[in-house]
Amino acid sequence: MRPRATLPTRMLALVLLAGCDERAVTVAVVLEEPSERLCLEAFGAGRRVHRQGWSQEGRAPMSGRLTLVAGDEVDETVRVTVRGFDGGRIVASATGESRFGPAADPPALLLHARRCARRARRTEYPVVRDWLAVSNVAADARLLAIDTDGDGDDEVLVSGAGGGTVVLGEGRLPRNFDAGVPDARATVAFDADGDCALDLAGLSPEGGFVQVRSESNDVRRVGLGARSLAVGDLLGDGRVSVALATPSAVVIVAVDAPTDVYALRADDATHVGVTDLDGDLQADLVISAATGTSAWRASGGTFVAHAATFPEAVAAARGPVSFGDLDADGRVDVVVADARLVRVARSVGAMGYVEASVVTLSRPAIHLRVGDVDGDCQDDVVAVDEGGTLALFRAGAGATLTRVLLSLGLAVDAVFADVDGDGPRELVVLERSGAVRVVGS
Amino acid sequence: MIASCPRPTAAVLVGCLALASPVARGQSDRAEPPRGLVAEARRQIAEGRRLYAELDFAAAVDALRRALSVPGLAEAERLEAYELLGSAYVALDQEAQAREAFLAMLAIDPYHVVREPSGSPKITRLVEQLRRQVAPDAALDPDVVLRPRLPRRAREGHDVLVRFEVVGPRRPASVRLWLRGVEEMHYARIDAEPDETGAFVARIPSRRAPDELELYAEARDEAGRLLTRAGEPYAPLSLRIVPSTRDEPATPFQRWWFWAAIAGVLGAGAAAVVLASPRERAAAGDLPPGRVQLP
Repeated sequence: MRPRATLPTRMLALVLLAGCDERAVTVAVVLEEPSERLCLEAFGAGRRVHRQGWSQEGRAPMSGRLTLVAGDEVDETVRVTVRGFDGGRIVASATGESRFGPAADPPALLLHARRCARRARRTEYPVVRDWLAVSNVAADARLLAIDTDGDGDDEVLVSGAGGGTVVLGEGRLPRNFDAGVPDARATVAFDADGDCALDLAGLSPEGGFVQVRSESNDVRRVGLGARSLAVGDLLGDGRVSVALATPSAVVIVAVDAPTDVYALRADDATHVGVTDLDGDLQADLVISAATGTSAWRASGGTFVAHAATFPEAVAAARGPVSFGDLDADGRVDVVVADARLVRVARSVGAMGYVEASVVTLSRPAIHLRVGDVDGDCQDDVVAVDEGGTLALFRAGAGATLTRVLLSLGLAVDAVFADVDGDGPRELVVLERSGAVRVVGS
Repeated sequence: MIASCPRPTAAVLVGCLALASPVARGQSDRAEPPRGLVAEARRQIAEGRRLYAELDFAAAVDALRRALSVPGLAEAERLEAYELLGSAYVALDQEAQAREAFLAMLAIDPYHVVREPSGSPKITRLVEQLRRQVAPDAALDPDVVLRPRLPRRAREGHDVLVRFEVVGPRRPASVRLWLRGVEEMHYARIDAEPDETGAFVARIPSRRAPDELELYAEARDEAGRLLTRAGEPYAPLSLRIVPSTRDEPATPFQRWWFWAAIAGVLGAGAAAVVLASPRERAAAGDLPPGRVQLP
């Protein structure tokens, strides 16, 4: 967000208002997803004027009110973003704007922080439009959506061999940023240290890393030879940990104490994901390895392999894995790629899953992402295959997938991001040609 | 039906009124509502609105139910009360009560668009589901907007043209204007005609006396389904009909210097009051520290 200059007319208005009663806004927050921490950031006159976080024991939905009183440096309005964090990951968010009003009866800004935001009108066929072109796109480049300054608009980063670039949006990161590790691919945005500011984690030829950007901007190497990385409260102690898929095991490392290491045996693990499979508010693991895809249920600070969680065909899959709520029933559904197939395992509760849909790609998938692109709060699925073909599947009733025809070039990666700050997300695609396209509203 | 009364004493008269049928009692109340009670009901609705904004949904329900128990409340107020009540019940996860409240709201105006401030999709979904049951001809499209272009006022004895511009992806097949004057109970209909710019224009016949017109417009598609409205029957637009101008000498009230002098005196007084009075502080919230002073 770019700061705005103070105009003479605004200065005059502020001087006149200085003799009057306070101007204020009451922000009423309802955090609808189970979260450990609520963060609020306020922006006035184009810059951040307040940031605050509240932690809670347990993960009950939170609500409350905070009165923001205008000072001389803000103008007539304030923009407020609230985010719910769980295990360092953003699980709910909302952004709104309000004018300041008289202290006797300040206007109320009601923010319902949810997992997703609905579009007032959904597009049957998403719009594809050029945004800009990026030069020197590495074949292994990754896209990441991250709202570094907390203003409600996601920035989109491209990173890989040669460094990182912010290709969409403007936030706290410089346009050409350094992830602290040579040729690093930033893959996860999360709050590592509980300061409400987003940090980065990702992969490099050396392995996994975490870059805490708050004050020290320090970089912690958290694993060697890692192929995949995910974050969450994995040790059940409120600290943020990183799970790394390596050739011999899945290693769990506490971010604030890299010597706290916990390993799960998994031969030739290629992908790891963190989610709450059984709805007990504890982070579980899904691991894709040489033997297939398996569920590991959190149990008292450790993980127990949970056989027969997934249907047979899903359990046999050995490709990328992702999660979302494809049928909007509040439970986590699992999406796996298995060679040229993408399979959906729909949750029926209590660690039970049924296969809901199978769709076919041209070639085996290398990236699989889940997010809501059409604003119906049923997450959709996008896959990029080895040949660069991107396939977008819209989720329908019962988590069944239907392919959406898009006219796009060969893709490197795709990510769901709210680039215009209106709540619902768009799909951002990085093409091999260097074009960055936005699909959605 | 009114119960028969043996003797016309005051006590018996009170008893008779209490025994009167609900229909008769309701009609009587609506014809001449008790002013004190209605004023209290309005206060309860305002309280319900405030409590809802502060997320105190259970207290909002209490206030709104108290308001709705008062007979004689105007339909526009009942509409708002039922809307808030249904929304509060949704927030409290009491769907059966929410359905009942929203059905009562739709019975007053089946095309009423919910204005709940958070834009909760759960509320919108429930209302649209109920609307499909009670108003099969509703096809409300939030992307289609009917923008009214009204004169600031009109003069008696002259026809008035009002224009409605259509914004959005769908174009309505017809637009109807409904209007009534201060002394009229029911809205009268005027069909608007499309003009060369794509807008719809309706001609309001001249009025013979000054009036305060209430009006709203409906846009419908080819199948006759309602797409959108400008104004609503219980939240109408207004158009003032003023007397025709006459050639009369200007009084001091029509001179600019008279009003400039008044404004100067009032401005100086207001500035003195503002500078002399203590600053009022906004109430604190319940998230620590309650109040935050921004730079």
